[in-house]
Amino acid sequence: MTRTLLMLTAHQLLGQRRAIVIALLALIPIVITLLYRLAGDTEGAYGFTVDMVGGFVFTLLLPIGALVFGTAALGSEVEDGTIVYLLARPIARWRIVVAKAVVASLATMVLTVPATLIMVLIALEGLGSDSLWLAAVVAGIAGSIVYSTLFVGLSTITGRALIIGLVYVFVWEAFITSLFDGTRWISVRQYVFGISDALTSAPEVTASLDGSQALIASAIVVAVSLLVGVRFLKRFEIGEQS
Amino acid sequence: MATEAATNAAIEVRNVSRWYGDVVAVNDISFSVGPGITGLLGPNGAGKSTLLHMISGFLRPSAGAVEVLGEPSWRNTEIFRRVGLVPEREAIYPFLGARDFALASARLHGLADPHEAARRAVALVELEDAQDRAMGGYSKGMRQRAKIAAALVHDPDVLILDEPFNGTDPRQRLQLMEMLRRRAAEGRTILFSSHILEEVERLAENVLVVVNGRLAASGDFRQIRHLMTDRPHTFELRSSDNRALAAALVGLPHVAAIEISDGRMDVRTSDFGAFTAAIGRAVRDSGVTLRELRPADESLESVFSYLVGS
Repeated sequence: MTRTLLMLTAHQLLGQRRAIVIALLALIPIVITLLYRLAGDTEGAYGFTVDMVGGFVFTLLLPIGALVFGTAALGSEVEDGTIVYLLARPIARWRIVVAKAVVASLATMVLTVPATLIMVLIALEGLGSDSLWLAAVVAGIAGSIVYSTLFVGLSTITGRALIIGLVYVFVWEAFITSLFDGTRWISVRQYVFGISDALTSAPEVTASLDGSQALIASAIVVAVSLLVGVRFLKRFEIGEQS
Repeated sequence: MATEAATNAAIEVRNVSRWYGDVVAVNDISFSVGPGITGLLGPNGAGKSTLLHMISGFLRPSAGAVEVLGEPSWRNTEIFRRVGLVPEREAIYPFLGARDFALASARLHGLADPHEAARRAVALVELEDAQDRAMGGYSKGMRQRAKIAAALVHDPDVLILDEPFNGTDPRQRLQLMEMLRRRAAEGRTILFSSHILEEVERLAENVLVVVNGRLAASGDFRQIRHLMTDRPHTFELRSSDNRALAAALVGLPHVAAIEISDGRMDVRTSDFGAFTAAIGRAVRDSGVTLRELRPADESLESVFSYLVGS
């Protein structure tokens, strides 16, 4: 049963143009890094790598990938009506929500984490990485799970999850959290930075949350998103006046 | 059986209403549905899908109660162990073939032998030839049959179908109707909606007529058909001498009014059957030539409107 849910969701997410768009987006940091290394500059390699991971991967590629997959995992089925083929089966709603969150997280991971790893390895090739690669990979995996689950939960509440998600990523996380210190607790980006900071000794990586704080906050966001998703899916109504 | 007080019914709808803001989609409807085929008939927008969604547990009634197989249906996923649902929307998984669609359905039901269940369901709707082709390339009728196969995969006691014959060609329609009749003969409960009178007439033993969110009529189809036929009608006539024909008709007891204008005559009668039996004699007696005779208000909506008022 669970395997079927996972298979159907994976087909729907990865068989579409959206997967190609995210894959192309994931190639951008690799291409930029190749050009950087071909230019022969190695002195600023650590700073460059941290800027690429923190300024592009964690702030753009990861949230956009998770937003696209997270909101589509359930939202596209609600929109096109195929959700009825899951809801008209004797399946507990939590299984559906968890399956959607797992596939959205994996899709985000598959299309962002390997690209991030390749980029870091190219950037620091022959220079010693100070565990930067490990920090980027683990934080990328954690970020994929937290962002994707958050957006799956959001898509059960509203049909405008994509727009709200964009506002969250590009207004709340980009601006508001830099203005008000307390808001870092409700920024997945800060959790990702906190986890990566805890995993590397590179001084260029800094974060406003420490590793354990980031992990606890991440776990809370995942749990709440799943609970909200299950609750709303249980109360989901198919409303047609025909 | 579809009555207002059936016992041991598979589907019980009691004083159910559903409104969206100020719009009343379903207004205080009660009925029971037992084994056999019941047709839910009504024009588009009458509230049929809203009713079926409430029966399937996908819409909470604003008032009243809906029970399926003795249990409240709202938020009750367990009813789907014995209930199959064919939704109206055409949406399917375009990347799956009919067999994989049925197989996915069988697995989601947790069936012991999903492959055999899927094979049997696809055979029931005669889609074997196309079962491995992606449904994205199916015709509308083939998609309908694939949806029905997915709903039949667990051999449900109750089958709910929302406009199941949409897009099917006459041969497919006959085949599906025959399959549904066989299931009904085995004692299963089948409830289907349609806005097409002929579909309901050909398939349903019992009928529920819904108009403007209200139950306009329910029970044996022949009785309702009789109601539909023997209702006030307006006929439009053209003859060689409308005034002479009007003089012959005006004395008939069931002719309520006659209006002549622009070479045509409108006759309002209170009895469809009596008028059609009498018109031939009136034409002969008045010595005129009848050039055209047709009912002026034969739309399904007008029939439904009459039932609401009757």
